[in-house]
Amino acid sequence: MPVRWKKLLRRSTIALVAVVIGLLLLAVVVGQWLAPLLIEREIKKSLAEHWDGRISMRGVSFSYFGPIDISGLRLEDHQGRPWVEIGNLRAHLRDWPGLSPVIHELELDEVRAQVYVAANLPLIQPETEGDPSEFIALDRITVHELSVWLHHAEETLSLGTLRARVDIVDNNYDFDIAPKAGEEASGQLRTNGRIFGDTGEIAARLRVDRQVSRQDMDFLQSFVEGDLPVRQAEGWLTAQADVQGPMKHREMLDIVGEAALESWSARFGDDVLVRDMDARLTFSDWRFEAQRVRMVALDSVVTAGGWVDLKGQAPLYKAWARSDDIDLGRVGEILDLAALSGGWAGAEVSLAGPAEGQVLIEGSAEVRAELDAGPVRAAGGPMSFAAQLPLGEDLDAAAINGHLDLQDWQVFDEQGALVRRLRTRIVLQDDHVIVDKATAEALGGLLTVSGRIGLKQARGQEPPRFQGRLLATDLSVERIAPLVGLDDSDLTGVADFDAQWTISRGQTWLAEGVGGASMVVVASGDRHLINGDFSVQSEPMAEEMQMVVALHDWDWLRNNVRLAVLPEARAEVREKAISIEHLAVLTAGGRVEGQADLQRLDDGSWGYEGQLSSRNFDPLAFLPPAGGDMPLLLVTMDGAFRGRGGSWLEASADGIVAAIWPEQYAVEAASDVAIDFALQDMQESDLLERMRLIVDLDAGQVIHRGRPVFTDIAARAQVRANSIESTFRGHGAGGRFEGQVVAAEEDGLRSFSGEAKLEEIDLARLPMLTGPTPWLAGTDINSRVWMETGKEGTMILRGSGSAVGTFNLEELSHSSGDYEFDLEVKGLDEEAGPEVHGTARLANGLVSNPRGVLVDNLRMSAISFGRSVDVSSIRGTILGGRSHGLFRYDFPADEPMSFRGGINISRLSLNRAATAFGHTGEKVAGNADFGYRFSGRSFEPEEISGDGVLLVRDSEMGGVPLFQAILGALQASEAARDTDVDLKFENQGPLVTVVSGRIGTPAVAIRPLPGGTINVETGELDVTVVAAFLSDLEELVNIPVLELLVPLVARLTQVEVTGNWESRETIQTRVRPVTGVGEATAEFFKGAASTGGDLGEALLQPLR
Amino acid sequence: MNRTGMAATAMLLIAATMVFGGCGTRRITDSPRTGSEQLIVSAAVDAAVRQLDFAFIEDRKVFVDDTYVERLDKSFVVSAIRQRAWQEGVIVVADREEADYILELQSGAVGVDRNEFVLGLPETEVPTPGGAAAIPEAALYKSIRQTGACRLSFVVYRRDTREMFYASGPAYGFSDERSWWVFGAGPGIETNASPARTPDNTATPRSGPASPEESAERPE
Repeated sequence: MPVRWKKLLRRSTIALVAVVIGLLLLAVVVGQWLAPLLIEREIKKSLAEHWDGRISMRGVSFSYFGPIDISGLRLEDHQGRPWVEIGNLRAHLRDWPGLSPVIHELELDEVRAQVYVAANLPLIQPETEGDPSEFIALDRITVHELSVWLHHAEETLSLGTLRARVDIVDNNYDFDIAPKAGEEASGQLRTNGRIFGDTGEIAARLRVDRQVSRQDMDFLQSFVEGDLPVRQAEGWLTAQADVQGPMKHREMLDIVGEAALESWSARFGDDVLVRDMDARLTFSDWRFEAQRVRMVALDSVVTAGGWVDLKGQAPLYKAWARSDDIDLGRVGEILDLAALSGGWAGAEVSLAGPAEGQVLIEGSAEVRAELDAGPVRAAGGPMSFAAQLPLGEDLDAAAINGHLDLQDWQVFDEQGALVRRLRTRIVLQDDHVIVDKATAEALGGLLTVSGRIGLKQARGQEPPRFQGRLLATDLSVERIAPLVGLDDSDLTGVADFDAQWTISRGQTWLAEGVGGASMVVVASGDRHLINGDFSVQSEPMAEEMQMVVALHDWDWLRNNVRLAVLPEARAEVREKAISIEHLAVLTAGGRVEGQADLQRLDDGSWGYEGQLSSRNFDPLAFLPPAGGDMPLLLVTMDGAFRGRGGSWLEASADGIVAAIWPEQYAVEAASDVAIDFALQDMQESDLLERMRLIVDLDAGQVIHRGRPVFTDIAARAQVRANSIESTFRGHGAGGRFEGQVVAAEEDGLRSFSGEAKLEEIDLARLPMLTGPTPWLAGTDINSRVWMETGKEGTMILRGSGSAVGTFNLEELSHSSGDYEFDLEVKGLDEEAGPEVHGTARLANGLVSNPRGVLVDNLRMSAISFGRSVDVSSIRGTILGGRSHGLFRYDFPADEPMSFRGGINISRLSLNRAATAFGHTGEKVAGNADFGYRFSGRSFEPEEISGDGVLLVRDSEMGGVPLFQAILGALQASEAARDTDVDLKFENQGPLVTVVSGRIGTPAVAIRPLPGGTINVETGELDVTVVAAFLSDLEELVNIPVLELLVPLVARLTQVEVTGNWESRETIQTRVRPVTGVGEATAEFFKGAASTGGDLGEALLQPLR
Repeated sequence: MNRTGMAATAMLLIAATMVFGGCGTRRITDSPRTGSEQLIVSAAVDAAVRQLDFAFIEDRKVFVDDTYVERLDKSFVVSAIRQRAWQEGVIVVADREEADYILELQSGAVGVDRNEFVLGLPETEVPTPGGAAAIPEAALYKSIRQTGACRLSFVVYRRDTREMFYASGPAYGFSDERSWWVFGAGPGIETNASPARTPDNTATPRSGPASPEESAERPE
């Protein structure tokens, strides 16, 4: 090869290499720097035509033989918020390498789309559609990983990681958006379909299978201003919808879909209100319908349903819900309604209407709830309601028509139902709320309420005017009494009440009511009728609230007798003052009038002052009748009071108080009275410690049948802390009295103590206390008595003194004695009655009658053991004889009373006895010894039994009718001297039976046969005696008893005596022969014959 | 048996008698007072006590003062009074200061009377030169009657004031026992001082409530 060729070849080679190198360098330069810059500029330019914001990319990788890679493409708005971030975008070129390369496919990876919902998408709408870019002719877009984030407020919602593919064929867009492979299980959005580019129609299917989470709800909640009651909602949503039609005309879209909600729950506040909600939803023909909606709300199963028709201009809808077991207690808890304490309800409610105009609400409920309103609870019954509400209007101004029916509702307390069968219909009509005859059974009677309120009036569109009426008939007083605190009263009767009121507004609010009340009350057997009228007029909203309450013509009748009349009472109440005037109560012959003014002070308390006056007012007339013992009390006093709220109170009054006891007592008492009362620091406890009450009586007197009995009575009672001290004094009953009494209370125990001094008191001058005592001539009582009550129903009573009584009696003209006692009475508050412990003593007792002293130097001593009393050592001189007696009296709590006693009298002078009992002209002499024991369970004479002996020695019995009769029958009337008598007897009541006896005189021996009877009350006697003359027995003295019986019978005479022992003329005797005698009788006659009729002293000694 | 054998046997018997033979004594004593006498006295006391009336001091606290009772069988007398008082409802206290009343006991008589009857020759002492000689009793029939007699009473007075409250009056009680012999045989005894003896050597009259065992044995 020639050199030149070689050179040429070398030079050509070098040039070629240089060109190649140059081309390579150019290619490198273009590919590495120029092309990416051009592409980046072209893309940014292209995007900038549509994106109103910052566009950036990290880099463009150009390849001559492959796709173009764009990394870090980022679209931001002007606020710097990233909307789209594409990690890598790969654009595939067609006709490349070539002169007119076209991007026909895009592959996007790691796309992060962030949508700021509140902001407008920063896109630029082209004014006109430009020519399509020749550089871009896409036929496929593939997004391998698309994550979409929605932002609103502070919340962010992720739609998950998707993959998307769009195939563009013949100007049609086939799209398929689905979860990224491997993430299908989490449930995502999936849609595919076609958009027809030529027609603008779409045919697509949308499927959602997604668990709605708390995050979703937080995001949705961010669209709502304020707090939603729904705090949280979760559940599973499965939905599918087919969409077909032109996209530009929504109404022409044919959308058919269905959805299912499963296991939804919604939380309101801290409590789950709705859970386990399942529902099936369909949408077709622009009608959305919810079927088979079932949920548990507030622990109650609720079924619901509804539909919305969207075809018209105004959607139509209807929704309903029903539950049969609503736990109202749970509702009360959720709604924080303490009054709704429990119960169950079944309810159905529906809403229907167009989206514009009227909505119809209808419903019914069967309520079994308890509404706890303090001590009173209410329980529901059936109710139904219907109303038409305007939509889009202010409810305050809208006309609402509807009604609410309630049936068989009741209100009850712990004792039972207060209100039964409450039935009412509340109607909203023509801008009025009308309660038309709400009736209920209450308090044993019937309540009827009716009323009418105009809504326009209530809204202020017209002058307000409310009208109502409450009518109560035949209410039971027994049921009303406990409600006003009279729990244990025995009140019965019925009450009626009728009131009508009107509340209207003129210049200010005015409430007016008039009515009447009538009550018939039976208390303690008395029938009370109280009736009258009232009126109330109030201006509650006036500049200064004012109310006038007036009572008119009130009557109080007891057993058809008028007790009192209240013609008029009027109280004017203002915010800062209350004035009571025209208060007058008229009673039979008397009246009370009063006036008071109350003024609210700056510190909020009330100051008050007023006057009360009475004229012959009898407060006791209002008490239940208590037989004839209640006095007529006439109070004529003038008083005034003043005070300040709960701080202090002062009152004083003076006048005359008179008391007149019924005619049978004929007692009148009157006194000047002054009362001074003050109370300080009333808001503190222990009011008594700060109370001052002094009651003074002066110049008091008690008059009986026109004659003064007690005069110059003066007393003062002073109430101090926990005690009342009083002193009293006066003249009367011929003497004087004075004393003091203290009543105290400590630790809840009340005690009384006091002492009284009586001087020269003559009970005969106190017939109003003793009753008619014509047998009492007078007394002279001087005594001091001291009394004190202790704990547990005990009382200590001590006293001493002397008493003299003179009597207008033939058997008793004078008695006197000195006494003292020291007693403790226990169990005063016990049902079994009190027990008495202690001692009492009587000394210097003297009893006499007009003919002489019966008992002298009488003294006795008593000791009491609770329910048993011993009167021991009853000693004295009775008709010259010495006596000793005893007495025991038992009165146990659970057994009948009993008593026993005995008395021995020795050497009683028969002559003095005869004289004392009026037998002054009769022959009676000698002494008698007497012993008698007795017992009984009643002080009735018929119930007293006993036995005793009567021993008489050396007596003269000629003046004794019985003895005269016997001796007369024996024809030995002169044989009554030196008579000895031994008689044993027993008695049952006044009937005395002879047990054994013997009578001896110097001439005659007499033996009363056992069984003879004498009635000491009637004087009737039936006695048989066997008698003999001693002279006939003298020859028999030495004969042994066994041989004496036969000859003795021939010498004896039997005398039967009947008649009255006090009258000789009535005594009949019958003499009969003796048929036989016993050994003891023979011994008696033999002994009498041997002693000459002297019975000896053998029986006397034990008695004496 | 020959004579030698008989002699040996006799010697053996004598020796055995000397070894095993012997004598015994038993000391027999009598109480100072016979049981019969004490029964007679106590029966009389019981009879007297039964007649005393305590009704006036029923349910009262009473101290029994026996200071002035110095009698035979004082302890029994006082105990019988206290028992009777208790039975009648009196609250007998041991401390004088605790009492409402003092019951001062009085005993007028507590003793036994003896009456003897002999049909035959009573025991007689005949004077002889050597001194008196006793001719023993030779009775065809003999009886001895013992009568117990008791007189009791009491007076009641208040302890605080010493005022008399109640006097019972005398209560007399008697009991009898008669013993008799016929031709020296006897005694036959008739008595109301004690109940008849039963075969099991008891003579206790039942008093008070029966024991549960006795109640169970008793037919319905």
